[in-house]
Amino acid sequence: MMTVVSAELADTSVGPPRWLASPGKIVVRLLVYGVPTVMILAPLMSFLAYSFLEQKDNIVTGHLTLANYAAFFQSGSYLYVFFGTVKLAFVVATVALFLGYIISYLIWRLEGSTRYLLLLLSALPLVMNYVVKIYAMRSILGFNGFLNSFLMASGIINAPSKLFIFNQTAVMLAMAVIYLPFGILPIFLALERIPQSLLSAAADLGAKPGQIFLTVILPLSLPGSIAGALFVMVIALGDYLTPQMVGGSEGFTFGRAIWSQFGMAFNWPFGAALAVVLLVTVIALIGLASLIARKARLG
Amino acid sequence: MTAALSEEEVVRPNVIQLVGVTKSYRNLNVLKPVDLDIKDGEFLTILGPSGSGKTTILRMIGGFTPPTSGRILLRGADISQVPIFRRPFNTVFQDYALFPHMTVAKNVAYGLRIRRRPAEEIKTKVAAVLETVNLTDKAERYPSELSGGQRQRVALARAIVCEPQVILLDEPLAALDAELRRSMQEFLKDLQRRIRTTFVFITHDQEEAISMSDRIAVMDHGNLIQVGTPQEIYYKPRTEFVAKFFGENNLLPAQPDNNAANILESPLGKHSLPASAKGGGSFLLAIRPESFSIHDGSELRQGQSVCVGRLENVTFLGATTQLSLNVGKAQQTIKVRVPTGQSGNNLAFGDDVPLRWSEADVNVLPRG
Repeated sequence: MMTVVSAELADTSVGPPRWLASPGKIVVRLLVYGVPTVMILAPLMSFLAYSFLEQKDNIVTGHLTLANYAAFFQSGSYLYVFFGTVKLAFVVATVALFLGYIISYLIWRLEGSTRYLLLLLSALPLVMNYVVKIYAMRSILGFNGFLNSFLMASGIINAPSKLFIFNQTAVMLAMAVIYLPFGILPIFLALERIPQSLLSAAADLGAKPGQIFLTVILPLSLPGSIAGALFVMVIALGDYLTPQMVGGSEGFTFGRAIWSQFGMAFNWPFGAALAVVLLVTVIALIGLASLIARKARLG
Repeated sequence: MTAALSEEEVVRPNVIQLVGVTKSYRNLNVLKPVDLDIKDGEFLTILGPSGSGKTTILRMIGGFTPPTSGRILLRGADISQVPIFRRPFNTVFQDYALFPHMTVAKNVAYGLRIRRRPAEEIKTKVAAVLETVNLTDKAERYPSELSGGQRQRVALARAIVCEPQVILLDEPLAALDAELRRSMQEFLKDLQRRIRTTFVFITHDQEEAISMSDRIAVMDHGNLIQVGTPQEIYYKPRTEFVAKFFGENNLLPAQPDNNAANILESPLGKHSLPASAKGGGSFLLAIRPESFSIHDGSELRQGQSVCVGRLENVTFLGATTQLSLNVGKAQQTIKVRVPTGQSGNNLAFGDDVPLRWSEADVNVLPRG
């Protein structure tokens, strides 16, 4: 008797019984699960499926095959481009980490409204059009660009250098500048999460400013900063437009390879296989980043 | 008792002196000029409601914020300009401020490692201090794995291991629940006696201040109002604020007698105006409920007085019983607390109860 009563009480307290969902709840649930499925999962699944399809004489036959993956792993040039791109993205992420850390740290040390103004300014490029930013970089790095003009005017070189445009260095420089804001924000947040009282406590225990940085600020902000840098690496890995516009023929990257399979060679299954390889790499990197970030939180 | 204490005060040298110290942020005066002597080896509590400036004093001693004017002396030497990391004080923070990326042992060792002490010394001292705070078995844990009380003790250990001249405690017990708080109070007091270090303790809790301190400094609105032993603060409040802050004082209005300037008239009767409370206008009398007793008709001693109150209410409090009585022409209500056995069961509402008290227990305060 008692249990019946308590069950009834429990039911009235939470409204209608759980199993009797109202039509509104069903609609909400459909939206919650359905929208991501249709918008994100379905396209992903479709090109995952494509990567296992056979293509003969530019026609997809519909047979399942692993040949697309075999072609990638057996081809020296695709593997070379893949690892070259990973290396490029790694360098871009490292530059974003170093420069981003220095800039974030300096902004973080500021007080009052200046710090948020500067933070806003450093994040401003994020709302600028991506293509515009690439053209801006081209006008700086190009043969007759700002950088060459500046170096010639200051007498360091006599003729315009071709070092800064249409090669891997150009891609690296352009990406590092364009993706720097993606590094600054997470690093600033990592610094901002350090409680002020920890810095007071370190000083109170006799630590000079440099010692506080090395023993408290750096170890507490580094995991978040590395996670931010990995995020930059993920974006850099998939970028095909920047390499195409400032890289020239030398600045060939994996993103461009995928694009050319879809846009020029019309070998969609092979392009899909390359995209899956990139996706797996990116997922691995994101997993690593979240692992580092979680370890930092637990501390 | 009082004589013995004052003798001890003479012997104890000052470890810290605040001389005319003020603090203002822009136009806001957070701290009016404060003079405070902190004696070597004492447990001094700075007590006040939030916003009274007590934490500001602590932060200035610790070097976290510079005074706007005035000097802070350490054994006579001005340290107002000495940077925080060179001051021989350590702070226990309200939120403990333990380093989350270090184990308990590393947290405690931090101050010694920063000072580049030999590894062997660090090891011995950390082990000894962890023993003192009963955390030896938690040495390799991280702060996130500890309970509030344990974190509190790590923060203490981290402060005392550096052997500072003064330990500053910024409301360290505020975040603990009542039971843990009481045991930590005893632990702190006991620890202070054992290591014989000066403690400057911040709290807004009067009971905590009374039970732990050698001396209490009461603050309100940026003013240092009264400094004294818990007994002095409790029985001899110098202002209305202090009298109200410590439990249920009876506060009664008193006017100078029209005929004699040095006689005060209150609902309790006539009182001689003490030399320290000269000046015109009206006064307040503060007298504690337990300073009254029921007059049994026996002969009055020197300085004792009697009045009659009409019984309005009786509240049983356990060991004591509280009587509410109306006294004087204005039927002013006073509270009287007597041992439960003495109250007598034969009292009835509306009875006239004769009360006896000592003039020495009456504090004449300026009316503010």
